[in-house]
Amino acid sequence: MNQNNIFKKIYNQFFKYSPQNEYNFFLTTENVKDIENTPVSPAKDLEPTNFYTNIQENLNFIKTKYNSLINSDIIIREFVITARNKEYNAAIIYIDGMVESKIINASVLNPLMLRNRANTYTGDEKEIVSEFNNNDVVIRKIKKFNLQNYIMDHLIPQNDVKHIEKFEEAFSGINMGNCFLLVDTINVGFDIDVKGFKQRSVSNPQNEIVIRGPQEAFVENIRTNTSMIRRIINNENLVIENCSVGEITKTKVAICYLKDITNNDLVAEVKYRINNLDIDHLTSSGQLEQLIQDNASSLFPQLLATERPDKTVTHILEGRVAIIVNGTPYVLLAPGVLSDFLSSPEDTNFKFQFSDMLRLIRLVAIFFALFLPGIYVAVTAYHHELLPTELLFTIEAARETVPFPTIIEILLMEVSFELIREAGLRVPSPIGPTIGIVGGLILGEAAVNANLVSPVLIIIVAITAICSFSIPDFTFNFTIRICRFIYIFLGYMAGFLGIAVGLFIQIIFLSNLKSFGAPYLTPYMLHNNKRAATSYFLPPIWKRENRSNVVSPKKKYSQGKISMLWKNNKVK
Amino acid sequence: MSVIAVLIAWFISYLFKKFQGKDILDVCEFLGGNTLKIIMGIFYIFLLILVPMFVIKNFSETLQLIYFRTSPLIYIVLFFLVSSTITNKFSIKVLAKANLIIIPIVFLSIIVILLSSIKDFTPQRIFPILGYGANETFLMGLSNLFSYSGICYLLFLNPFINKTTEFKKISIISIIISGIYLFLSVTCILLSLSFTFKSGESFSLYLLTRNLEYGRFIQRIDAVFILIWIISTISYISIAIYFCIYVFKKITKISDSSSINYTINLLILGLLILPSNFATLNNIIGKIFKYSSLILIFGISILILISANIKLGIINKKKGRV
Repeated sequence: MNQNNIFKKIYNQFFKYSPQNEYNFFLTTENVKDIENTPVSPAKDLEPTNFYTNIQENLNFIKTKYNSLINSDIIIREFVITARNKEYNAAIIYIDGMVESKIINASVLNPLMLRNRANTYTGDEKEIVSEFNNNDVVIRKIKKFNLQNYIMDHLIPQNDVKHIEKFEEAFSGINMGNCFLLVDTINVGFDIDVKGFKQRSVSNPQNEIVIRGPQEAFVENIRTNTSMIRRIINNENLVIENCSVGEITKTKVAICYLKDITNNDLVAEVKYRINNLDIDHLTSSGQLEQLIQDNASSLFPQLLATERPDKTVTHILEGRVAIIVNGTPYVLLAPGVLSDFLSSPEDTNFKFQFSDMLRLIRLVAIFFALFLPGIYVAVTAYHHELLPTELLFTIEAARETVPFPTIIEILLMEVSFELIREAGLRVPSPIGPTIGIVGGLILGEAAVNANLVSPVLIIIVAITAICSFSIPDFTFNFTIRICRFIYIFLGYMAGFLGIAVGLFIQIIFLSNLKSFGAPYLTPYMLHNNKRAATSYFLPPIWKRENRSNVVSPKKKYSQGKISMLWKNNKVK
Repeated sequence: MSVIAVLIAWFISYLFKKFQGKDILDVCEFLGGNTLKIIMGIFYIFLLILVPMFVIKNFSETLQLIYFRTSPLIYIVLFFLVSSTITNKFSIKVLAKANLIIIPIVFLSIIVILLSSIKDFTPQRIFPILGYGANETFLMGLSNLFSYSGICYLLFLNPFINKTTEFKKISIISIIISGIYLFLSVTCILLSLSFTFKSGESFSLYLLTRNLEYGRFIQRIDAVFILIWIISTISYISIAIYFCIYVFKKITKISDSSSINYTINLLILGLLILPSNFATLNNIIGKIFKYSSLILIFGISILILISANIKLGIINKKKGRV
């Protein structure tokens, strides 16, 4: 038996395949350069900036930059074009998947490569620029042949073509989905707009739902977003300026404002901040928001983020600046003050009485969302006398079997609730509601039955949760959630004394906060914001003649003193 | 007393008319050079340290008595000082903005107290109108002007305000608001509480709020008023310490105030521990501090302002002759 085992062992060692279980891979740190991020890398100084007249030299450089040997989606198509019956080497460069092939074929390759009336033009017939008759002598001004202009004017029947002289501009165009045309003997190229990548179509807003307002939201494509804004504003004073952010990504950012309304200083400040960012990449408007806000350490959001074109337009018409980042369906609005985060785009669609009632309810909801758990802790620990005796007995009786102090009890439930909320957001949408049911009903009920928390506390946490859901702005909700925990601790530490201290410090911080020069607490103080659509409690629509003075707009009034002319027999 | 205080505020703003953008320390420098400025600055620092110290001590002891019987006094005191330290990292504009939110709430609270306690008012308690007699009320009672020792801040406010007319407006309106608040408070206490309660001195208004009830459900809401008063007290302390730092910076010509902020708050904490009990503190306030601050604010400061105006008049007259 033993001999048998020995043979088996020898056989296995020599002939049996045993897979290697260990696989060691390490990332070396030798290539990591500990140098400061500079806008221009030192190697760039040695690179050519302008095009050569020789197409091969240009192509070689482009191929090197794009690593075209290993990059599968960089297409370089070389061909010969005919102009004035002469042949020139040419090439187009584009990224597969980002262009519309049909447009390239029909508007670029066909007219350039196939023989037609334009490219067989011999040149004997000079191009006449102007002609006039002087004493029966015809004087003609004739344009000298210029290949660059000839191609531009006769051979590329495409609406958006630009002359490019620098490699950098060419790369930027190619990266954005344009097609780049190079022709031998000329040191300029042609940036041709043939974008055609797949993108999400305009759909309903997901997070800012309204009943009576428009039902379309921004998408990831910057041009679609700007067109949505332009379509609503419908005025030539709307300016949409473009710039790019990020050394690597060169993300397109559009700055939109109304030239005749928005304060020049505000526009200049927005542009100044965006143009002075030393970052490699920008992938969302959320990142840009953090990079350009006044106080980065503050808990409070200082720019409005919205997915709704109508809300964006309302604020642009008030004199604010909208910032659109390519690739993000959320547009930033600067400046953002406290009242903006408490308002819903729905408010202006309703009669002022309904809107004001909703806004009042929202204020109450924010108060409860912020203070209720803290007040509960403070009352149960220090200020029993605030509660009527019967209620106090009920609470105490419910808490009798709970082994934890109130602070542990409330933290347990608040943290559980935050977990349920986070889990509900992250899980796939079909099982999202299940998480809510499991967390909300089963966990809460089980916690009460197990005497981990008192039933009163469940009510407190539930009210707080419902109130926090009524906050219209998602980012402001985060602020309230964090502040709530601070107030819980302060309430536990010193009851109302702690809460009062916390509230005072919060008021101080808010009073100090500014967003693009606008005091954050506007319109509550130092700014008379009456009769404006941005005042927290809305006046009737015919009384909203003032623009918001938060942004000091160029035009003070947005409507006439008497807006309903028909009612006053003052018809135009 | 309120009328006298308004007149004094008007007079101070009138005396500052020729010293636009200058505070009392600048006026001292103009009158008696750097020496007078430093001497007066030290006096003002003493005053501005002692005022928040007494307020914190008084309020903290009351809070300890009501809610925090098992907590040491220093624990309560630290809440006030930490908040004032944080607040004083910001500018006076921020403090002013914060007060624009706080003051209406405080004012609303006293109106709620007034309306709620009307049912307990006994008009007969107003008698005798002259109290202990005309002499006691009008002459000895002048020392009650101490309630308006906040006028002291007007002496330093001028550089923060651009126009002289604005300064005058602010001075008078602020004293009128304080006067109305004081009048409403005194009315509530005088007409609602019996003499024995009033003689207790400490937090008479709190004792009044304990009796407020609205139906069967809300029977004791004094804690809500305490919350409002805590906020207003922190605001008051912060302003006093702000001006203390301001005076210190001005006489020492230091540009960075962050270290002074910590030092002054720590100094107040140290001073707070000195008086052994509430009675000692009341003794110090009633006998020494009350009269010395009255002399400094309403006596010496106004005297300096008058003298400086005379000096300025003489100088201008001489210039006119030349």
